[in-house]
Amino acid sequence: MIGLLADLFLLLGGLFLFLGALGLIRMPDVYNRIQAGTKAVTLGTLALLLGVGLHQPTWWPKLLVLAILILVTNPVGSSTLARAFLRSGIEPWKKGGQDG
Amino acid sequence: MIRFTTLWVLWMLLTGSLQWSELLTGTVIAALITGLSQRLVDSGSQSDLIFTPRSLLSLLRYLRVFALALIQANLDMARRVLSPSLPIDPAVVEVETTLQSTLGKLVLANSITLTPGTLTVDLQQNRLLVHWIDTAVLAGDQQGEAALQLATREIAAGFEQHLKGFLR
Amino acid sequence: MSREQRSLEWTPLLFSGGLAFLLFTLFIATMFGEPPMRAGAMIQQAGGVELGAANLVTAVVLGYRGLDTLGELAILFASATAVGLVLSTQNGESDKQASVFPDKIFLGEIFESASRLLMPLLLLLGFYIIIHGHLTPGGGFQGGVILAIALFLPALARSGEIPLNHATIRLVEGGAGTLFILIGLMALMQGESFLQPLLQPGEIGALFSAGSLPLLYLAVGLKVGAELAALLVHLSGESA
Repeated sequence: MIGLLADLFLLLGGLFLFLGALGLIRMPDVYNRIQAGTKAVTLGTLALLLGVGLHQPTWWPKLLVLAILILVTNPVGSSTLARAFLRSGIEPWKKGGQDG
Repeated sequence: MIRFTTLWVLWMLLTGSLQWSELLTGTVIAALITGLSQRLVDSGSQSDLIFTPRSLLSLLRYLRVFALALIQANLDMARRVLSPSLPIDPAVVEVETTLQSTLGKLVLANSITLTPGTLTVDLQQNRLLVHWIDTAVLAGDQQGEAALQLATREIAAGFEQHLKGFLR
Repeated sequence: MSREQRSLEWTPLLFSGGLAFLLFTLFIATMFGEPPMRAGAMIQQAGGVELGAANLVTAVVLGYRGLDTLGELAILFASATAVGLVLSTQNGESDKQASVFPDKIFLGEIFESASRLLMPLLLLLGFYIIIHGHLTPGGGFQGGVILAIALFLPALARSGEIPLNHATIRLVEGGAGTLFILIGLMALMQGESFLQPLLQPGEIGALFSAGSLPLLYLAVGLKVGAELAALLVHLSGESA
C-alpha cells in the first residue's frame, strides 16, 4: 500500500517535470519559460523526494535537507537569471505585440 | 546562537544517526562554521526572526498557504501549457512590501516566484519587480499607483500577512 | 580558401574514425564483464577488512594509492599556481583587462541575501562530504570544491567582497598539504612504508573508523578547497 503510494508520487513528480519541459517548448519568451520551468521543477522534485522518502523511510532526514536546499536555491536562481535577462535588454513578450 | 543551532540540527539531519562520534563532530564543525561565517559575512539575520508562540502559529499558517499555492501554481501552469491557445497575457509589474529584513524579503521573493503565474525579477529596497503571466486582472487601463496597489494586493498580500508574524 | 575549408572538414571525420577504431579494438581485446586485471577483485575482497572503509573508492584513493593522490595534489597545486602567476602578470601589464568580470557587477539583492544564507549551509555540506568520505560516496576532492564555492559566493554576489584574505587561504592550503605529508611520514617512523594507513581499522560504518584515512581526506579537502578558492578569487580579478 505504502509502496503503491510512493510509486504514485514518483510518477506525479515525473509528470510535473515533463510538463515543465513542455512549457520550455511552448512558451514564447525567456521569462515565461523560466516561469514554467521553475514551478514544475520545484514541485516535481519535491514529489520525487516524497516518493523516495516513502520507499525508504530511513532516508527522510537527508531528503528534508535536500527539499530545503531546493526550495531556497531554485527560485533564487530563476530570479537571478530573469534579472540578468531584463538587464541585458531583452523585452518581455507582449500579447498581440509581435507575431510568434 | 541561532545559527549554531540551525547548523547543528542540519548536521544531525544529514548524518541521520545519534552516535556520540557524530554528535561530537557535528558540534565542532557547527561551532567552527558559526565563528567563521560571523566573521566573514556581516548579517543582521539574528534579529530577522521573531520568537513568540504566536510566530510559530503564523509560520505553520504560512507553510500551509505556501504549499497550497505551489500546487495550485503547477496545476495553473499545466493548464496554460496544455491548452492549445496558450492563454497568457504577460507583463512586468511592481509590487510593494512592508517587510524590512533581508531574510523576510528573500522569503517573500521566493514565495512569489513559486506561486501561480508570477516570477520575481528584481528586488530594490521595498519594491519587487514581478513578471506576471496573466495580467487580465489589471484590465489594461490601470496605470501607476493604482496598478501598484492592485498588483500588491493580488500577488504579495497573501504571503505577507503570515510572513509578518515571524519575520521582520 | 575553398581547399583550406575542405581539409578542415576532413579532420573531425578522421578523428571519429580513429576513435571508433580504438574503441573497436578495445572492445574485441577485452570481453565485457571480465576485467583484464585481477587487482580490482582482490581489493574488493580485502579493502573492507584491511582498512575498515565502507567506501571502497576511498580505500583505493587513500589506502592503496595514497602516493598517487599526493601526486594529484601536486598537479593541482602547480596548475593553480601557474594560473595565479599568469593572471597576476597580466594584471601588472594592462591594469584591469585580466578581470573576467566587469568592474562593477551586482547580481541583485535576492542573490546577495541568498548567498549570505547559503554560505554557512554550503560550508556545512562540504565538511560533511569530506568527513564522511570513507563511509559514503564523495570525499576530499568533491567536498573541497563545495567549500571553495561557499567561499566564493559572497564574492560573486558583490564583486570585491572576498570573505577570506589571501594569507589565510595560503596558510590553510600549506597547512593541509603539510598535514597530509606528516601523516605519511608518521607511517615511516613506525617502520611501515610511506603513507601506509595507521591506527586501527575500527568498525565499518562508524564515523571514527578506517584508521588515518579520514584525517588524510580532511587534509585533501582543505587543500582542494583553499586552492580552488584562491583560483576563483584570482579569476574574479581581485589581487587581495
